[in-house]
Amino acid sequence: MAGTTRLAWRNLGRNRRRTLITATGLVLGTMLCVATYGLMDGMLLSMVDALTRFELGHMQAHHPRYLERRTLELTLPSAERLAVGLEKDAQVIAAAPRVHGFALASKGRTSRGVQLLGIDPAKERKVTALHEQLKEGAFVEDAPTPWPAGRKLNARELAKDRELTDNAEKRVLDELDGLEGLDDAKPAKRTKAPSGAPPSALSKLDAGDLRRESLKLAASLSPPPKRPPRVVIGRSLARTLRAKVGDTLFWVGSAINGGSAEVTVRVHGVLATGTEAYDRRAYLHIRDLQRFIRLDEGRVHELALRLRDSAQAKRVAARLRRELDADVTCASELSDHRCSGALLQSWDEIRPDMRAMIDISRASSMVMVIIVLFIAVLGVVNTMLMAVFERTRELGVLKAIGMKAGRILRLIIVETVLLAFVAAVIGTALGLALDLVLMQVGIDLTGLTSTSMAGIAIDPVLRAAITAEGLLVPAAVLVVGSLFASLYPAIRAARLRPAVGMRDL
Amino acid sequence: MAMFLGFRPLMLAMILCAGVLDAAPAHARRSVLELVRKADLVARSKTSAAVFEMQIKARSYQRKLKVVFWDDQRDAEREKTLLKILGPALWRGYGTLKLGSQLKLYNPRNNHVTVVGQSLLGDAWMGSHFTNDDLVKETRLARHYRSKLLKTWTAKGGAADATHYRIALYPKPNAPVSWGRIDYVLWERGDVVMPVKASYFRKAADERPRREMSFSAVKKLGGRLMPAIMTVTMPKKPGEYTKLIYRKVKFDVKIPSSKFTEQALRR
Repeated sequence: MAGTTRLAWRNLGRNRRRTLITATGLVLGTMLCVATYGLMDGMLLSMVDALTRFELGHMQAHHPRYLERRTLELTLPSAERLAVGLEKDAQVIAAAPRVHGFALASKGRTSRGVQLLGIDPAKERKVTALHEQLKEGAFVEDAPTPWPAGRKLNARELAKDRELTDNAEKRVLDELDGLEGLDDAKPAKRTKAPSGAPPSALSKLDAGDLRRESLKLAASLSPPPKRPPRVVIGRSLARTLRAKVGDTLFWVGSAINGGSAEVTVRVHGVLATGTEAYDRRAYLHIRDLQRFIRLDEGRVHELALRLRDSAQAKRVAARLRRELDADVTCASELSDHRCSGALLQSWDEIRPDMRAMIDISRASSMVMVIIVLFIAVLGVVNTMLMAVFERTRELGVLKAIGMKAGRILRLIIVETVLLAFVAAVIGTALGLALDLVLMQVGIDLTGLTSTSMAGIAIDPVLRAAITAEGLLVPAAVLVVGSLFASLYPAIRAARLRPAVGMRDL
Repeated sequence: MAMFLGFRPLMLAMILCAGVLDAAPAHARRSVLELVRKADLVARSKTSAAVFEMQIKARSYQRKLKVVFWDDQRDAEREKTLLKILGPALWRGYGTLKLGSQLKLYNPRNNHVTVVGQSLLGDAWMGSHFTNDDLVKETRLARHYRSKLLKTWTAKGGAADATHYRIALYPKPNAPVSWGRIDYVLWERGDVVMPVKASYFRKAADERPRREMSFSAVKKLGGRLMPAIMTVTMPKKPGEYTKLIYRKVKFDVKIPSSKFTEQALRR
């Protein structure tokens, strides 16, 4: 075998120019494939990064039905205990609790539906990079807004409340009775409608006083915060509402008890992740959002986790599911409320669409590599056929003096694969060098294309990423491809009859 | 692609339904539509004013709200509706004002008016199972839906000797409605048409309705026969309901246009 290899190597050196031209084609092909692979991986990584760094984290835990229904009531059972348990794991960096909500945010006459994300800033910093995306102002403050708790009304207040309602109802009923019909020609007699009830203390009060009395009761039940909660809003939201840092917004939302919830908030910061969905959100302290939607302290919708190694997310999720024995069971298909356990999922289990997109992109890079290298390999077939024709006489002589057909077959195959192998090594090395340059410099696509894919922001400056797959696949495809490509010239050479070969000049 | 797949059952149902509709004789079609139109008008008039109580029972809360309702539909381009909550304390003074396609929500505790578009018509009103649309009466079944008679029968009992109809309603192609199908039961006796029950389905082919509204306690209110109680239930949320009980209703009364202003909303 060693002899064959040496012979093959020498044969390649016999027509240096031709070998060089063929090899250059292969080197360039491999290099470009490696570089394109690198850029594609870079783009996918940047997308995964945007997805996991600005929202998902690497793993999340929810109430088993939360992601389907997204209703406020479906909070994680015993979230605090779960978070502590998860953070004990060596792979888990942090588990950040979150509350989701919705409000209609308005400033002046403009209003806009807004997703609210309640976060614990200290924990959130360890899981996502939202705080690094701040464009103006400051991030969500570590301490929640002072917000006194409400209390139940006492008997006297309840009686007063009933009286206020009755009074209002009576006034309205009287007003209805006093209305004239649309077709009435002459006004009906404006007799003060007799009210059956004896005059109460309230009837002496004017509208303003009644209103103040009512608001006092409402404030005991559900007091307003001591100051407007400070919120951070996404840039798109800021743009639609024309809100700047320091402005106040008015939020109308729905509380968990079905009531409507309102609060005036102050814009404390504006952030931009580049992903439209995240930049339309508002971020605030988890306690503030819990107060706003009247969710008890400790009840959260989501835990977002950051892992030491993101590539392990799926495996870690599966392991933690086993270890924590977080059995997910729902007693009934109908009721969402009799579920136990928490649903732990890695980011790509939560967003299978993203996973699929990555897999499809990878597969399409592979197809591209195969096409480019197939063309390059066709050149190799041509070169080797030329070489075999040129050496017909020589091969005839070799056969005549007793060289076996198998050895000639091997010789040609080794010649081809050797050529491809050397080209692959040089091409991969050059591709790696190009990747390294593209990692530093990047290709600025700003203005050329949109900067998001499937709604997820990608860095407009395309940078390469180096992966084992990206480096090895083009070289492997080239070497294996050449092996197959060499078969035809090699078989032709091996089949050559000595007499015919020698006659040929 | 996924979008097309999602719509396929709906489209199929619509095509099927169109075929059936065409098969029915024209006069039958018109009279079914006429029934629906009459039922639409049961609690509707040029103007109306009412006081009602709303009993809300949900899984985690229950409450009773007293509400006053003002409505002026004389200008078809700019229908006006005002709802104000009279009590209890936590909700007193909250108001909803509809002017044409605009909705305004008033919050007395912050003395703030939020202006929203029609997109919120389908949202729940004040934590009840009624939507804004149910209460401001934006949608008219006869205008926005095509109807198909499913079944006719004569019932004894409550509405004795009345002819009952079960009618399937399918949205017209460009109707701004969110339901794929409504099954509507109503009865007719002489001139009187009364709704009994409406079942709302997300998609035309669905088997289980998303919500059901039933009409009961038919009696004379404001000089005409109408159901005094409307109850909304959600099959997916057993035990939950919202009941709307009319206390007093006035039809075709002079309501000053100042009722339907932001000042009145804030008052």
